Amino acid sequence: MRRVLMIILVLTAMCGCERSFDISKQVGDSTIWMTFIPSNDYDSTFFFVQATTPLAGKTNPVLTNGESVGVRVNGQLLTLEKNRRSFADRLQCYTTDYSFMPGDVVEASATVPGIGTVGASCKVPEPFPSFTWKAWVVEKTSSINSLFVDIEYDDPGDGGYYGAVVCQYIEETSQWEDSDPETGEKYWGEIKRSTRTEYLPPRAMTEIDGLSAGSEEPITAMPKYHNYLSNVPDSQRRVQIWSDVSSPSPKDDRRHMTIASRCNEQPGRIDYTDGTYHGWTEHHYKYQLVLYHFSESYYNYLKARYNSDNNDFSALGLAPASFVYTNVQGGTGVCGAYTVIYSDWIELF
Amino acid sequence: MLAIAVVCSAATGQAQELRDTLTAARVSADRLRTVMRTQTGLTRLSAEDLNTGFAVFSTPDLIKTLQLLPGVASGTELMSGLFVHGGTGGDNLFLLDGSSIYNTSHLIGLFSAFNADVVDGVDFYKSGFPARYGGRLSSVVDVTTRDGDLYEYHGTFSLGLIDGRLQYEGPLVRGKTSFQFGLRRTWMDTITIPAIAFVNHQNSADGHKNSGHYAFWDLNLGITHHLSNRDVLRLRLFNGMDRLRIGDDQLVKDYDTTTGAVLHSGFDNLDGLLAWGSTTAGFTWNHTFSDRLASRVGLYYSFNLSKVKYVARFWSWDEGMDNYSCTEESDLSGIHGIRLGADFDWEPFLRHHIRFGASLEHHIYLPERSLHQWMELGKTTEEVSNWSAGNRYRGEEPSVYIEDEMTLLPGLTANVGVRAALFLVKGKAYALPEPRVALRYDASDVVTLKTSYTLMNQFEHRLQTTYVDLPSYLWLPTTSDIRPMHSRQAAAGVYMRLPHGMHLDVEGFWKTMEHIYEYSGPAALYPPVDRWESAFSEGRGRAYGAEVAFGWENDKSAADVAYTLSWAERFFPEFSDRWYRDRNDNRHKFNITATHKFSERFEIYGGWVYHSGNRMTVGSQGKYQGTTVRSDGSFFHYYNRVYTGPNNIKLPDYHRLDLGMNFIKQRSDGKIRTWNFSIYNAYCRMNTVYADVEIDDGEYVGKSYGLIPIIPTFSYTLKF
Repeated sequence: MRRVLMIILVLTAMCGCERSFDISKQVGDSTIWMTFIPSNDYDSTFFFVQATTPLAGKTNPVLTNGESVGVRVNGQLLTLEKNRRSFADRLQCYTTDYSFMPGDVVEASATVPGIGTVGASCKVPEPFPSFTWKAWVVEKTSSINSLFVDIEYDDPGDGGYYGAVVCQYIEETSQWEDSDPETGEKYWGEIKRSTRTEYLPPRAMTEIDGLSAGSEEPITAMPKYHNYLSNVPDSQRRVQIWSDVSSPSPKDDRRHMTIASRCNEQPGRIDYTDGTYHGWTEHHYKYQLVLYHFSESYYNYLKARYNSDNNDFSALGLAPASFVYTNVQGGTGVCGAYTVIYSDWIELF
Repeated sequence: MLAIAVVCSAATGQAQELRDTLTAARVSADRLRTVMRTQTGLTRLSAEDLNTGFAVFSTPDLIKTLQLLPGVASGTELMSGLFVHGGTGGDNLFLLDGSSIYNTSHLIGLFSAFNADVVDGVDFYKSGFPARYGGRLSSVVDVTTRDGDLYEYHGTFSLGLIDGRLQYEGPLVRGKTSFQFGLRRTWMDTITIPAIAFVNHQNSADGHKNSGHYAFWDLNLGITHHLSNRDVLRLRLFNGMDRLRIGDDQLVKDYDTTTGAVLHSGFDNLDGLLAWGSTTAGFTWNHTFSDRLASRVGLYYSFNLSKVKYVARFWSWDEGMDNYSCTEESDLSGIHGIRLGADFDWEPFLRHHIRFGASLEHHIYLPERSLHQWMELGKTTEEVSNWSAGNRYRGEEPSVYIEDEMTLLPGLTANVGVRAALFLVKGKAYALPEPRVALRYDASDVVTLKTSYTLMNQFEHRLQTTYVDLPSYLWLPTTSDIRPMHSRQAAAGVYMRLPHGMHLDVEGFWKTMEHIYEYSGPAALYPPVDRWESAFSEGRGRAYGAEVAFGWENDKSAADVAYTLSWAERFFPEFSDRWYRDRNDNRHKFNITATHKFSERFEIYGGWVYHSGNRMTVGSQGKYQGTTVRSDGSFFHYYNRVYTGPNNIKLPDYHRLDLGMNFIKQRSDGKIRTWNFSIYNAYCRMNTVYADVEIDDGEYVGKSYGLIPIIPTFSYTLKF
């Protein structure tokens, strides 16, 4: 469908022309970009601060010195380590002696000499509500395990901003009978190894720049009230986020996911023999549900970043600019929080 | 005094007081009546106003005329955008003889659907809405078409650069029954077909072939029957439609970069159809009970359709196997509306003029979408996707209103009214009262002061994913999750009748809007159908400003100057935690138009339009990522874009000059022929349609893309 529009645009543009216009007076002065994403997910939380450079004309980067940051949790000042002037002139600090808890009210501020002071606040959300989940194998091929996952949760209030991803864990055990080449003595060899299918945590969206749409995108933003989450292949790599704030009444606090996880080996035990050489290999696939509860600001930011990568009409000013969000007063970036919980592992094969 | 005059008119059996539009009145008379009305923000356009102003492609156009008014933003150039007092564009009530019109544009917004040949008059409200109107937040465009002549046959034929028009009227039963019809159709398809064939011939070597066919038409038919000197029956029919078909065929070949051998070859085909339009029908019975009481009872039907369909096919021949893939997608939005309404006009006492009425409107909304994708790999057929989604919403909208135009003191008039609207949809009911108050005080013979306060609700939402004026939007109702839009507006003004045919109006307004919606999803041409409520974000808007209009007129010349200073802002928590400027936040708008009649045979027109540029969102700041060294030794710094807020960049200012002239000749047989020559955008200002910030030779510059050059046109009109 977009191709239809693009053809129309191209045809009309054939008789049009482009013209430069001066944006130097509109891009404004340098601002301060900051991100601080407290969660219960990590022992320390990074605080990034960087001066932005107005993009007009021949642009030299605005480099800074002497930045200061401050974080208050429930009114108490936290100690931050300033570890290095990191890549690309970005100040990177991190917390050392505090583990964020649900309910913590966080205020973050940053000052850059010559530019100013910015600040934002957020509240670490309660953990994902109590839930039950089930998973079924709907299809199994030599390379793909397709699961249907059913999550039912008990949202106590007016809804929330949530995310979910299914993590796959593969345990491989191999045993084989072999003989010592020097003595000829037979013995059993054994190898055990495990692989965890990694997904990019949502905070990658905040901390890593230049992630493009496609397989490396950490999240998929789902429509509100939509009970069926993504069934995109490789979706196990993405955290699927959704909002059920202001959802229809009565609320349906169920979500269904279809997960297609790659597997290199068939589950179960495979025996093999080749004359005197024989053994077996056994694969066990285990699954774990990872559930997020985001603050409103962080959810909005993640969704905006997702739309930013996926709406080229907006980039031309031909569609609403849904890809902009910041809650940093006087600057840009985000101060948002999330809480993550992990289910028990379940074994399906 | 005015009310008495109106009632006297009713006594003639015409019941004209129910129609706010005068028949072919002079501009000055219209203006006088506009000032004398209690409401603020009212502009009354006669058929003559529409036909004497500048006409794009020499075709007079209602919406293009309204776009020139102060307080109205036009959005993207040449499109039929009508953003009134910071409105959303989907919040204007278009009534054609009482029937609602949803699709108001032809030719991707170049023309509106109202044929000026059959229009009697237009009442345009941007504030001070009387209680008899409702259902939209920002403006009312009430278009009435003419009754046919009861005694003479006559008509108009016009041929322009891209369209032709025919209007004809006369008696069916002399003195009793008359008819009028108007037909308009583009004939640009007869130009574009050979032009595209020529281009395809030029491109035939590389196997690339485009096709395109576009046509629009509209048909108006009106029959008026005078049952008696107290009863008039009117039947009005309208059908307007646009169809755009585009095709794209190309051979595709992938080559081995080292050997040059063809690795893959295929054939790519796209066939797309866009269609949109409206059909309306209205039957009214006007009855005059007495000199003091008249009524109009009407049954109105409207059907509005927008449809986008495309089929994309791809054939490939790889390794001796024929492969074929096909995608068929269809999107459709249909709205049926049927309304039964009764309006009464009653003057019980000398100082009171009461209007009251009720209506019941039944809406059916039909959004549909389907997608079918399949592949044929050799002899195997694999279905990739096959789904369809559709919803059927029914909405009932009963409403009642009453308004009283009362003379409180000599020189002090009030129009106090209330409209009570109820909207019932899927078990949910919204009952919302809408108070309307307007005051007028004639401080002297020269100066009139007015003020008004109105509250409006809108139960239907135009949902679109892009700003392009294509039929890619859905009209959907308020539901249990999507609340009615809501606005409050206060306006006040000073209106001065100056000597020598001059007038000066100064009006200010303050407006707030709640529960307005913007698309907030990834790129899509068409909104989702099955989960549309989730794809839109709710927000608020506000607009305020001042409008100054100065006019001068004598027997031969007229000039109008209008200036608007306004602000339009939005607050959508999902986009930003602070208020930001609306896309159509044109801080300054300035228009000057002038006409001069040198003789009965020659007249000229000139108009200059200026407004501050529209706004768009640009990543105008960068997070420094690193530096590379170019081959010439210079440094190039690269950045990741940072968006400081929505609509943070103002595009270049918009301005253009339009010129026109009419050569008029009355032939010996009494027929009048007119040659019109018009130049749109006379100094070829390539105003911005879309823009971006790009890196050009190591510099970040704004790049605006203009599509509309100078357009000289002509038309021939024969009145017979």
